[in-house]
Amino acid sequence: MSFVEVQSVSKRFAERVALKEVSFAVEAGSIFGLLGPNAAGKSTLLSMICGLLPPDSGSVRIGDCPATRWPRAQIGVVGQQVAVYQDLTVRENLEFFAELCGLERARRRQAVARELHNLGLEERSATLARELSGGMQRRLHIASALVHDPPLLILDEPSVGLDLESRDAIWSAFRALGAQGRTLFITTHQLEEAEELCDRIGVLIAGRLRRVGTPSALREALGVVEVAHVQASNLERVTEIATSLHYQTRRRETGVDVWLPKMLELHELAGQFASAQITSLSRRPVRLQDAYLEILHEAKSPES
Amino acid sequence: MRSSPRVSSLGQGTRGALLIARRILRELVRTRRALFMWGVFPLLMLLLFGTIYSSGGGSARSFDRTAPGILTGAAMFFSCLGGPISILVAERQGGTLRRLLVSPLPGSAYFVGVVLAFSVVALLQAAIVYLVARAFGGHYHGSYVLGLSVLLLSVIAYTGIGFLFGVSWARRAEDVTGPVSAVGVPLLVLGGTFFPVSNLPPSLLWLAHLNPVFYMNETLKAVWADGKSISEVGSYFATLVGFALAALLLGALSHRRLLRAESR
Repeated sequence: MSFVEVQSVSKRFAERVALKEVSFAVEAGSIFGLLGPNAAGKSTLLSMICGLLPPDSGSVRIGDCPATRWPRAQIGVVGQQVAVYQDLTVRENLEFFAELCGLERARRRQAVARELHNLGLEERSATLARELSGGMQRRLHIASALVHDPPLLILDEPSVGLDLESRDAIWSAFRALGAQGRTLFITTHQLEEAEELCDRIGVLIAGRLRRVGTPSALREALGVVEVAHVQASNLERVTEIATSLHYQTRRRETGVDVWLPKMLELHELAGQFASAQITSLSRRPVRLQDAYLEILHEAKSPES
Repeated sequence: MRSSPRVSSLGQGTRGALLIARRILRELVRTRRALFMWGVFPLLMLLLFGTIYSSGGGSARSFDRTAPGILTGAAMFFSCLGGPISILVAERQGGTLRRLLVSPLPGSAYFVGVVLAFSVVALLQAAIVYLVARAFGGHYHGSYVLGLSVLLLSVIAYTGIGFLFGVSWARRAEDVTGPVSAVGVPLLVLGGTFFPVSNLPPSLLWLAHLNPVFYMNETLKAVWADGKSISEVGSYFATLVGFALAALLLGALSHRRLLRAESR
C-alpha cells in the first residue's frame, strides 16, 4: 500500500524547471532513497512532501490526504544542516522538539529516554549542544526529529560528514525504524548508503525521474555481471578490444572500466586484453554506483 | 511552523507561544551575556542621566523623570528590538527556523512567543530601573496597570519592527548592529530618551511626533512621574496603540514573507 504518492508533479521557479512530470510511490513501512546530482530538484521534492511547497501541477499525497494537509506532528524531518539549539543541552533540545509536537509530559519523558538510548546520547544528555562533536550534534539532530515517533521520516543527506562509528549508529537506527513499520524517505549522494538502506531507489536528474526500482533491479538493468578495471600502457587499445567483443567501456581516471555481461576467469580476461599491454587488472561485482553513473551518462546524452 | 490556521487551535497556539518564550529565556539565561548587558545598560544610563539632570545632586524628581525614558527609550530599544532581530538571524542561520516551519507550531505562535519572552526581559529591566530610581528617592506615581500596558505596547511595537528589520535587512549576525544603530539611535534622540523633546528645534519637533519612541517615553513619563490617568494621556496612549498595531501588522507580514522564503 502506498503511503507517499507523487503523481505527475511539475514545478517551475521563474524560468527554471525544478521538477517535470515526476511520479512515484513509496510503500508504507519501506525505505525509499532519492539519488541525484546537485540541483536535480531533490530539495524541491522534499519541500513538497513536507507540505511546505505546493506543486504547479500534479499532486503529492501522504496517506489519504494532500501533503499540505498531512499533520505536521506525523512527520519527522532531518535536513542537511544540523539544526538544534546550541545553548540548550541534549535533553532540553529533545524535550523542546517533543513538546513542540504535542507530546504530554509522561510520554515526552519516555520518548526522550528512548531516543537518548537509540542514538547513543545517554552519557551526553546534560551537555550543551554546542559542546558536542560534529557527529554527536548530527545524532542529536536526528534524535530530535524522531522523538515524537512519526510514521514518516524525511531525511536529507542524513549521514553527511559523519565518522564511521556515528554513521553505523544512525544506519542501525534507520534499519530499526524501517523494521518497526516507519516509512523513510532519504536523499543522499552516498550510493553505499542508498544500497545499504533503501528498499527502492529513484534517480532524479534535472527535474526528471529517470529510474525507479530496487537496488538490485537498477543494477540488473545494466545487463552486466561484473566490472573489470583495466590499467594498461595503451588504453585506446583496451577500448578497441572491448568494443570488438561487444563489451561496454567507461573511461576512468586510472584506466578503463569494462562491463562484463558474463563471469570470466581472470586469465581468460587477461588473454583478451593482452595486446593492450595490461599493467593491472581487477574485477568486482557490479554496484549501484555503476548503474547510477550510467543513468547520469544517459541523461547527458544528446538523445535524452 | 505553519502560517495556515487549519490545524491550529487557540490551545495549541498558546502552548506553542509559551514553549517558544521559555526556550528563548532559557537560552538567554544560559548565555548570560546579553541579559547582563541589558541589565547593566539601563542601570548605568539612569545613574548617568539622573545625576546630569539633577545637576549632580541626584534629586528624586530628576530620577522620576529620567527613569521612564531610559526604560522604554534606551533599555527596551536594545533588548526588545535588537533581541528579536538576533534571534531571527540565529534561527535562520542555524536552520532551526525551517525546522519550526515543518512542525505543528502555528506561525503566529512564534511571534507571540518572542513578544512574551521579551515582555519578561522588559519587566526585569523595569524592575532594575524602578529599584535604582527608588534608591535615589524616586517614586512611581501612576497606575501600575497603565504603566504595564505602556510597556507591553512598547514590546509589541519593538518586536514588530524587529521582525521587519530581521527579515528585510539582517541576514547574518554581523548585520544586526547596522540597522539597530543607523535607525535606532536617531529615533532615541528624537524620542526624548536622553533629553526632553522641548529642547528640540521646531524643525525637528514635528519629526518627534512621528516617532513611536516619543509616545512610549512621553506616555510612561506622564504616568510614572506625574501620576496621570488614562484620560489624561488618552491621545498619546491611543497613538501608541496605533503604532503597536502597525508594527504588529508589519511584523506579521514580514514573518509571512520569511515563512514563504524558508519554504523553498
